Amino acid sequence: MVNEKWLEKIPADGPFYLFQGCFINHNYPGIEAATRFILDKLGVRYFVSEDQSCCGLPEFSTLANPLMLTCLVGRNMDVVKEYAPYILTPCNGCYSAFHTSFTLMKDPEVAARTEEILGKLGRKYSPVKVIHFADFVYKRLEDIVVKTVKILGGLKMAAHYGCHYFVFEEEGLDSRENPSFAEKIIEKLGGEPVNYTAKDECCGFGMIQQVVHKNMAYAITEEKINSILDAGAEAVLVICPYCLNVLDKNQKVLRDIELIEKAIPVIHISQLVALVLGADPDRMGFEMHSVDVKPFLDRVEARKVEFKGWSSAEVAASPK
Amino acid sequence: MDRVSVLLANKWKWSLLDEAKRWGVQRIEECLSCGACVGSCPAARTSSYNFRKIIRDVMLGNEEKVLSSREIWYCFYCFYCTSKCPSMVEIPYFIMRLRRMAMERGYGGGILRVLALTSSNLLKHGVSVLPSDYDKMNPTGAEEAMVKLRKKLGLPPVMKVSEKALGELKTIFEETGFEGEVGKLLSGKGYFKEVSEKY
Ligand code: SF4
Ligand code: SF4
Repeated sequence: MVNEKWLEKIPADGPFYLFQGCFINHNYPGIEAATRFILDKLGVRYFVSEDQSCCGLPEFSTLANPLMLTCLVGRNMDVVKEYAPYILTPCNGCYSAFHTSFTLMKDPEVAARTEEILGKLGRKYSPVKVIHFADFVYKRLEDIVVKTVKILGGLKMAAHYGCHYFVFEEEGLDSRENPSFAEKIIEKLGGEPVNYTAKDECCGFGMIQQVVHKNMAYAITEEKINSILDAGAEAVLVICPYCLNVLDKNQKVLRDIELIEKAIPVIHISQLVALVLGADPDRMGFEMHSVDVKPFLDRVEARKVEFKGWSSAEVAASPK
Repeated sequence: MDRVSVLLANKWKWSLLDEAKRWGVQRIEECLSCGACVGSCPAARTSSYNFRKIIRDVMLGNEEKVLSSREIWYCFYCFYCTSKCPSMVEIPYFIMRLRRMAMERGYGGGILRVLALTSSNLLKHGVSVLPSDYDKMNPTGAEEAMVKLRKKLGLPPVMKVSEKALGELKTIFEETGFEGEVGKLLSGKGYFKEVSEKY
C-alpha cells in the first residue's frame, strides 16, 4: 500500500541536487543520461558539483567504519546546501547512505566525533531531505503519462525494489512486505506488472558477498531470476544501479552453467521512463548491459492514438 | 535493581552485549529466538550462517568465538530479517558492529584485504568505484571507454572530485583512522589474523 503521507512530502518540482553516485557515473552513465533527460522534460531544475564525494556507504558496508559514513554524508550535505534544498538519487546505495547516517548519528559518541571532525573543515552536520528517484517518478506519474510518446505494448515486467530502498527508521513510500508503486508505474506506462514469489528478496549483491563469497551471491541471484522467469516476466524493472549490475551480469554466469533457462533484460526505472518520453534508445547506455535488451526495446511501441488526458474516472482512481 | 533485572544481569554477559549495542543498535536482548530471521535469511540458505546462534553467543559472552569466526562475514546486509522479526531486532547493524569489534581485535584478515581495494580508490580519488574496477586488465582503456561513452550520451566527462574536496577528505581519512586502517590492510603485513572457519 502506497503511503500517502510520505508521497505528500515529496517535492514535485525540486529544485534538486542530483547526487552523483560513483557507480552510475563510472559504470552506468545511461542511468544518469536518462535521469537528466526526464528532469529536463518535466522542466525540473537540478544541480551537480565536483565538491561532492562518494556517499560513504561502501566504507561502512565493507570496513564497518561508522565515522566514514557520517562524515562523508555530513560533508556532502553541507556542499549540497549551497545548491538546492533537496537531494535526488537514482541509487539505493546512496539513498540508504544518508538514512543509515541519520540512524548512526543517534549514537551520542558517533555524533560528537562527527561534529568534531566536520568542525575542523569548517562544516556542520545538518540533514537535507533525500528523495529517491523512483519516489519522484511516482509523484509525477500523471505528468509523465501525459507526455509519453511511446508505450510498453503489454510487456510483462517484474519489479525488483532492492533491499536498501526500504528505510526502516522512517516509513518510506511503500512497505517491504508487498510494495506496489513500481507495479503501478509499469501499468500506467502500458506494461503488465508480474507478481513473483521472491519479490522482496535481495538481488544477490549482499554488499560484500558478490566479492567475498561469490557462490552465495550467485545462488541468491539464481533464486531471484528463476522466480521471475517462472512468473512469466519478459523484463525486470530495477530502481538501483547495483541491483541492475548484479541481476544483469550474474545472469551471464548462471546461463553458462545452465542454472537458468534463459536470460532476461534488466532495465533501470530512469531508462524505462526516458524511453517512453521519447529518448533515443541509443543514448540510454545499454552498451553496459550484458543481457541483450533488444527483446525489451522491441516491445516499446509508439503510441498509436494520441493521449487526450485522463477521464474523470481515471483521475479519481489514479495514484496520488 | 528490580528482581527481573538482577536475574537478567546474572544470566547474560552485559559488558559484551553493551559494547555490541553501540551506534544505536537496538533491542538485541529482546530476541525471542523464534527463528523468523533465519527462515528468511539469504545467508542462512547459502552458508552455515545462523543469526540465532550468534546472538546467543554474544549474550553468553563467547566473545572470541564470535569475533574470530567467518560467520559474522556471511550477512548480506539485506534487512530481510528486520522486516520479519517480531521484536524488530536490527540484525544487520548489529552484525556491522560485530565486524567492527572483530577488526578492533585484529580479526578479519583475508576478507578485509579484498574489501580494502575499494577503499584505496576512495583514498586516491574521493570516489569508491572506478571504471577500471570492471576491466582490471586494461585500466586506462576502461577509463577512456567510459569518457567516450559519456560523451556519446551527452554527459560531462567522468566525475573528478575537486582539489578542495580532496583536501577536506584527507582530513576525514586521517581523523577517522580510515587511512591508517586501509594502509595496514594493503601492506600485506600480518596486522589482521585470518578468520576461523570453525564455528
Ligand atoms: S526474528 Fe528476531 S526475535 Fe526471532 S530469532 Fe530472529 S532476531 Fe530473534
Ligand atoms: S541482513 Fe543479514 S541476517 Fe538479515 S536476512 Fe539479510 S543476510 Fe540474513
